[in-house]
Amino acid sequence: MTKGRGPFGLVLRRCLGLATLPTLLATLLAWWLAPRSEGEPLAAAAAAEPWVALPLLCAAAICTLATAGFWPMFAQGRPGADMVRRLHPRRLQGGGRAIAAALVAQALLTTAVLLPLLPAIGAPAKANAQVTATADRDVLLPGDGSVGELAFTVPAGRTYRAVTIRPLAGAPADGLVPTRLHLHGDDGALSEHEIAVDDSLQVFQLRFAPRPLRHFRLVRNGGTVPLLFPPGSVTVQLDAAHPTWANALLLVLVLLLPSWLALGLGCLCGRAAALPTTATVVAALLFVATVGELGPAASALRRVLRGEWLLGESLFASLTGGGVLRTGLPLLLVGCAAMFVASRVQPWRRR
Amino acid sequence: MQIYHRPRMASAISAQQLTVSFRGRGRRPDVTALHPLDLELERGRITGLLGPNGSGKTTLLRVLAGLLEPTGGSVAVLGELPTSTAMRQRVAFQPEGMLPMPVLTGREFLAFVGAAIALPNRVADERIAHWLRRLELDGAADRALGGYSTGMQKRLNLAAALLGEPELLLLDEPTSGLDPFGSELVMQVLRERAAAGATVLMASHQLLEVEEICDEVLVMHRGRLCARGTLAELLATGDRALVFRGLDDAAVDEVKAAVVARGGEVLRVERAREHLFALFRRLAQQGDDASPR
Repeated sequence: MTKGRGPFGLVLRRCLGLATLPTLLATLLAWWLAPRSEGEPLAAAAAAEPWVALPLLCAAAICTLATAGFWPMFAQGRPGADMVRRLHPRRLQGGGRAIAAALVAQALLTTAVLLPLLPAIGAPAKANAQVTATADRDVLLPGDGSVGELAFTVPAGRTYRAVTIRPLAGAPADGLVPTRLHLHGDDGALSEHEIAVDDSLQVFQLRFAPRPLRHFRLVRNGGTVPLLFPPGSVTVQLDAAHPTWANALLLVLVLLLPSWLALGLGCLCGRAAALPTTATVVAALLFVATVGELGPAASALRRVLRGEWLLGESLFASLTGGGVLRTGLPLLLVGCAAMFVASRVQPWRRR
Repeated sequence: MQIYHRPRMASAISAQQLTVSFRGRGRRPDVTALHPLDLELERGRITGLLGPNGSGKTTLLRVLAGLLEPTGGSVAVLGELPTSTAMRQRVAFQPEGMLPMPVLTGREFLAFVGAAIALPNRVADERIAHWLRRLELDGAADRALGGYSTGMQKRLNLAAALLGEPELLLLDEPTSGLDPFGSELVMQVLRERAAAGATVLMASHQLLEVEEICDEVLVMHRGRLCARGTLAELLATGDRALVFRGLDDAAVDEVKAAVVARGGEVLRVERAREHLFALFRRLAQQGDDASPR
C-alpha cells in the first residue's frame, strides 16, 4: 500500500495546509461583515453574496494556484521535472491526480465554509425549486396603460408558494412613475403585496399561501414604465422544500467547475510555458469564471442565498436565467478538452 | 519511436547506431546530440562517462533512462526498452540539478519516490531510514528540501535513486557540489552497490574520482564516443616509470646519472607530499577536536 504518498495525497495535503487558515479567516470576515437577512430574502441575498463569495474564492484560488506551483508538470523547466516525468510516465505525468486532489481539497474547504456560514448569515433554511412561467400571449406591459395585465401559465398539479419576476424596463413616454404590479390568481388576488418597478432586471418576489395554481396574472396598477417579460423572467416557486445543506453541497460541485477549467487549461499551458505564465492563466481563468460570471458559480451562489433549489428547473434555464447547466457545461467541456489535448501533446523540450 | 534489439545477455546497456537529434527552432538548423553510437556495457561494473560540456553525456543518460526517445538506432537496458514500466524500479536515474517540490521534507520526498516505484509503505519506510542514515541525512530528514544545501540535495537524490535497489544506476554528476567527505561517502556507496552486483554509469567532470572508482571509462566529444577502455588501457603510455623515495640528495643524483647513462630521461624530481583529501580530512578532524560539541 502506498496511499497518501503519490501526487494525489501530496497535493491534497499541500492544498489543505495552505488554504485552510486563509479560508477560515475569510469565513470569519464574511460572517462578521455580511448583512443579516431582515425579512426580504432577495435583498438580503444580494447584500450577502460578495461576502460569502470571499472565502469560496479564497479556497478556490489557493487550491488551484498551490497545485500549479507544487506539481512540477504544470510548467516547463521546473526543478526535478525529469525525475517526476520518469516516475510518473503516463500521459499527464501525475497532473490528472494532482488536479483531482486540488478539487477534493477545494470541495472539503468549501463544504466546511458553506454549511455553517449559510445559517449564520440568515440564508433561508429551506430551498425551493423554481418553475418558469409561460406568457399566454403578450410579454409587454406598455407604460401608457393600453394593456393592464399579462397572463401566465404554470405546470398543473403542483403546489406553489411565490412568484419571482425580473422584467426588462423601457423608457417611459412621460415622466417616470414606477409601474406598480399586483399578483392575481384564478380566483382573485394571490398576494396583497404590491411591487413598484422602475428599472431593468430588478428582482421581486411575491409570496402567497401555498396552493395549486394553473394560471396567474400580473396586473398593472398605475405607473409609466413599460415592462417586458422575456422567457425565463417570470418563475414560480414550488412549495416542496429541500434542506439548505443539500443545496450547499450542489453549490460546492458548481464551484468546482471554474477550478476544473483553470487547472485543465493550466495543465495544457504547462506543456510549453514557464510557471509565471501558467499561474497567470490559472488565476485569470479562475477569476473570470468565478467572479466574472463566465460560468455558473456566481449565479448559483446567488440562488442558494435566495433559497432556490439548484436542481430545479433553473438548472436548465436559458437567457436571463443563466442556468447552471447552460453556463457550466461549456466550462466542463473546455476543461475536459484541455486535459485531453494536454495528454496528447508532448511537453516542449529544450535541449 | 524506440526500436528494440536483442541484446547480449550479459549486457546492462546495449545500443546500436543510437542517434539523437533535436529539431532546430525557426531557421536554426537541427542539432545532432548523439551521432550513431554503438555501446555494450557489462553488468556489475562502474563506468565513467567523461567529456566536455555539450558532448552528449546527459543526452545519452536521458535516453537510457527512457526520458528521451532516440531518433535513430536501437537501445536496450537490462534487456528491455528503457521506457518499459518495469524499468522504473530496475533502473534508477539521478538527474543533475535541484530536486522537485522543495516544500517536501527529505523523508516525504523519499516516500513519494518509494510510492512511485510501487514499494509497499513498510518496505519503503525501512529503506528510507537506512539510506538516510547511510548517507548521513537522518538529522535533516524532517526539514524541507528548500533548506537543503546542494550537497545534501545530491545525497538525497542518490538516496532516492537507491531506494528501489536498482540493477542499473544512471548518475549525472553525482558528486558535483559535494564537499570531499560527501564525495567520499558517495564513492563508498557506489562501490558497495557495484560489489552487490549493480551496474553504475556515471557522467562526471571529477576526473580524480572517476580514476579512483571506475572500472571503465567512456570519453565523449561532440556527440561521439571517442575513447573507451579501462583506465589502465587509456592512461598507459607504453613507457615504464621508476618511483622511489627515502634517498638523500646525493643518492638521488646517482640514480639520475644512472638513468641518463642507460638512455632514460629524468622528467622531474619532486618532494613527496600527502594527498589533498588526506590533508583536508586531517584539518577537519583537528577542527572537530578543537571545537566543543
